Amino acid sequence: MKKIFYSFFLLLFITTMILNTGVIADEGEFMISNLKGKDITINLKELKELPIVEETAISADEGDDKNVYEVKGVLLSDLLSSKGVSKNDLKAIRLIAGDGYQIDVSENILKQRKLILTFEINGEPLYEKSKPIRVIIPNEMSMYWLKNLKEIRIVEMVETVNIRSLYFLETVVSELEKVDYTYYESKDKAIKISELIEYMDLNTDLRSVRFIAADGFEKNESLKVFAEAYIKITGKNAPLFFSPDFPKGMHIKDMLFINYGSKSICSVEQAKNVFDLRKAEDIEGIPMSELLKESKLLQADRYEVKAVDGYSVEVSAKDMESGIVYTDEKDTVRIVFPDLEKQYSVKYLYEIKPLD
Amino acid sequence: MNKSNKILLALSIVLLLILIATYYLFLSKDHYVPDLFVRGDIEDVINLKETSSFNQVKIEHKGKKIKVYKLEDVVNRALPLSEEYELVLSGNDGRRAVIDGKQLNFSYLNYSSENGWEVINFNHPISSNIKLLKNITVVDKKSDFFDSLTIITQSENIIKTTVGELLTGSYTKKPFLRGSSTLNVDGQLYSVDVYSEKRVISLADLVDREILGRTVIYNKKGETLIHRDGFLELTNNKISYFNSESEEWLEDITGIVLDAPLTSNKDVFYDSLHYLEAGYKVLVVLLDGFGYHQYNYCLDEEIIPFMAEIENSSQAITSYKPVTNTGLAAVLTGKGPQENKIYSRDFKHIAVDDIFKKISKMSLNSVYIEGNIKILNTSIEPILNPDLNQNGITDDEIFKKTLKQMNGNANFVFVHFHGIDDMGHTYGPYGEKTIEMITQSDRYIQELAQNWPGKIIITADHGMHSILNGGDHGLVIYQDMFVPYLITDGGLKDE
Repeated sequence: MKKIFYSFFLLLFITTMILNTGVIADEGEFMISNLKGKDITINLKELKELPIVEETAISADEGDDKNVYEVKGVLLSDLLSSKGVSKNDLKAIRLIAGDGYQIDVSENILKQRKLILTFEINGEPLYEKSKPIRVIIPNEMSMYWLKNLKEIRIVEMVETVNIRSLYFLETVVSELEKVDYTYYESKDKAIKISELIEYMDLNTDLRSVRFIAADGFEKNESLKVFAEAYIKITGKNAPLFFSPDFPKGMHIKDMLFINYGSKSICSVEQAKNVFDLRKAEDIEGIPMSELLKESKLLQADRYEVKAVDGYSVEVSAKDMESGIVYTDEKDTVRIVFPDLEKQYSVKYLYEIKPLD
Repeated sequence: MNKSNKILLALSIVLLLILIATYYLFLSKDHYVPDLFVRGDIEDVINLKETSSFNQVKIEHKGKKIKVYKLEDVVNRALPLSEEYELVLSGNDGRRAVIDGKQLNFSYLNYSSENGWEVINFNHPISSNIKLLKNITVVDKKSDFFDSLTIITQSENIIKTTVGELLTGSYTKKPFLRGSSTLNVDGQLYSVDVYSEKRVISLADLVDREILGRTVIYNKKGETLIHRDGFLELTNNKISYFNSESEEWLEDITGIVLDAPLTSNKDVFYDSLHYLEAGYKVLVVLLDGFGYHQYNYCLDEEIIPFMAEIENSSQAITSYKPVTNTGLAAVLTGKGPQENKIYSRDFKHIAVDDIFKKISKMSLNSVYIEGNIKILNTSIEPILNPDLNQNGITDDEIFKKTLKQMNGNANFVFVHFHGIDDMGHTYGPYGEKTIEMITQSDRYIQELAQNWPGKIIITADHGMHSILNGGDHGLVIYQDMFVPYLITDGGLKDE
C-alpha cells in the first residue's frame, strides 16, 4: 500500500516538474496550407525558435468587447520568412480554428497589421481552449483574434506576373499626338498616358504599374496616377514620367521599362545606354539576347515579331537571341536577324511576343 | 429559549444569510452598467464602467445619503490637455449641459438603476444635472496648436479645432465592414458580417468648400499623405484621416494643407542634380527660418532688392515638422521624413542618400558650410563656423567662408545661414532686427552671386510665426509651412 502511495506522489511530482519545465507546453501544432501548393505542419517548439515578440495588444472593439492583453508570440511574417515566403506576397488568408470557426484576413489587414501567433497572454500560457496558438491582430476587432488555431490557409497570393509581350516605346509614341512641355529651360514634347493606354488597348483592371529606370531605380505607381500623367519623350532625361500635378520627387527619369501587367514597354533610346551594343554589317544596336534577359520576356521556342502596321514574322528562339534592335537615321525602330534573310527584318518594330 | 425558538432563530439566520448572498450574487454584481466615456481633448480615454480605481465620497442628495464619484477626480484622471476646458455632459435623450472645467468642486457622478449615470451639480442650475449620461466630452478652450488640428491654405490658417470640439459638433455615423467570419457546425456554414460605426466628417463639409487642389495631410509623428478629398474620423481622443477610395489611413493627424503648392524645398535636391548634370555649378543658399510671408513683406517694403529681381520665384512647402532638422533633411535628400527618417529636432541620422553622396557618385565636388553646430549626419562633414567676432551671429563668418570656398574646385556649394532664424526667435518674424537681418542676407547673397559662375537656389528650411515674446515655428500654420524658392544665375550682372 505504501509503495502505491509513494509511487502516486512520485508520478504527481514528475508530472508537475514536466509541466513547469514547459516540455508539455511546447506541444501542439497547426498547419499552413496551400503555401506555394504545399501543406506545412508547424509545431510549437519550432515556432518558438523564431524571434519572439512581446507587446501590448489592443483590439479595435468598443466598450466591454475591447481587449487589452500583454501578448508573447511569433510574428506570422517571421514564420513565413523562415519558409521563404514574404507576408507581402499574401493577398488573403483564412484562419481556421479547431471548433470550426474561421475568418478571412484581407490583403489590407495583412499589409497594415502585425499578426502575432501568440502562445502566452498576460504572462500565462494559453487556456486549454485557446491552445496551441491564439492569433492576435492588434488594432483589429477581436473577431480576428482566433483561438485554438488549427490551420492558416493561404487563400490567394500575389500573382507573379510573367511578361508576355515586349513593346517598343518609340514606335508606340510615333502613333500618338504630342503636346509641348517646358522642362527647365528646354521645350520638349510629351504624350498623354491615357492616349497610350487607349492606343495599346491596355486593360484598366490593374492596381499598379512598375517603372524600371536606366540606373536600376524601380518604383510602383497606382494605375490611377499613371493614367493621369504624361511621358516626356524628347530632350534630357527622356523618357520621363511626369505630370504638371506631380511634385518633382514623383518624376521618373530615363525610364527603361514600363511594366504594365504582363506587358512591358521598352525605351530603345535608354536601352542603348544600358546594354553593350552589338554590330552587324553597317548597323549597331541592342542585342536581343540582353533585352530578352532584362525584360524577363517569357521564353518560348518561337516568337512573333510585329510591326506597327500589322506586318509580322515568326522567328525561332535561336534566331531571336541573335537579333539586334536599332534605330535608323529617321529614328525608326527596327530589328534585324543577321542569320536570316532580309524579309525577316521588321521596320517600325512594335511588339515581340512568345508563341505557345 | 426553548428548542423550537432556537430552531426558528437558526432558520432565520440561515434565511438572512441566503438573502444577503442572493443580493450580492444576483443583484449587486450581475446588473448591467452602461458605458460612460470621458473623451475629447484628453490624453487617456476613460470608461466609467471600470470604477474600481476611483474613490467614492458620501453626499446627501434629495434626502438620501448616497456614495458618488467626484467629477473632478474622474476628469483629472483622463489628463485634460490644458487647464482651461469645458465639459459637455451629453445624455442619451439628446440633452446636453456645458459647464466650466474650473467649477467642478461640488460636481459628482452617481450611478443608479433608476437614472443610469447621472451628474449631480450642487452649485450649478438644476438643468445641468443630466440623467442617463452617455458621454463627458472635454473641450479644450486654450489648446495650443500642437494639440489641435489646423487646416490651412497657402496664405491663411482657416480652421483650428480639436477632437473635443468636433465630437460636440455635427458629424455622420457611417458603418464600415470590419470582417466576415464563419462557423462550421456539422458541415453547415453559418456566416456573419460585422460592421463598426465610425464618426466621420467629410473634409469638404468641414471647410465648407469643394476640395479641388492638392491636399497634404500630416500626423503628429510626421507621416504624410497626399490626396484630394477624404474623411476625418473622430475617435474618443484623436482625429484620423482616411480615404475610402484608396483605403489609405493616417492616424492622429495634426494638420491639413489645402491647395498645397507643387513646389517644395525638396526640389533643391532634384534641381541641383539637374543643373549639375547639365554642366552648371550650383550654389544653394538656405536661409534658416525665412518664411514666405516674410519674403512677401520684404518685397512690399522693397528691402531685398537682389531677391526681388529674381523672376523664377515660387511659394514652396516644407516638410512637417517645420523645424531645422526636418527641413534641412528634406532639402538635402529630396524626400520627406517618412523616407529620410528625420522627423524632428531629435533625429540626426539620415536614412537615405543625401545630395552630397549623389554628387560624389557623379565624380563632382561638394562643400557644405554650416553655422557653429553640426545638425545632421551628412555624407560629407560640414565646415563649421563659430562666432569668432562674438557679435551674436555666425552669418558674417559663414559668408566669408563661403566666398573663400567658392574660389575652390567645388561644383556644388551648400551654405546654411542662421541669422534670420536667430533674430526671428528673439524679436519675432517682423521684429526690426529680424528684418534688418533679412536685408543683410539679401546683401550677402548678392555678393555671393556676383562671384558665382553658376546656378543659385535660395530657399529656407521653415518659416516663423509670432509669439508673445518673439517668434517660433513647428506648427502646421502657413507662417511656418511655406518658404520662398528662388532660382537665378550667378555672375556679374550688366548695369
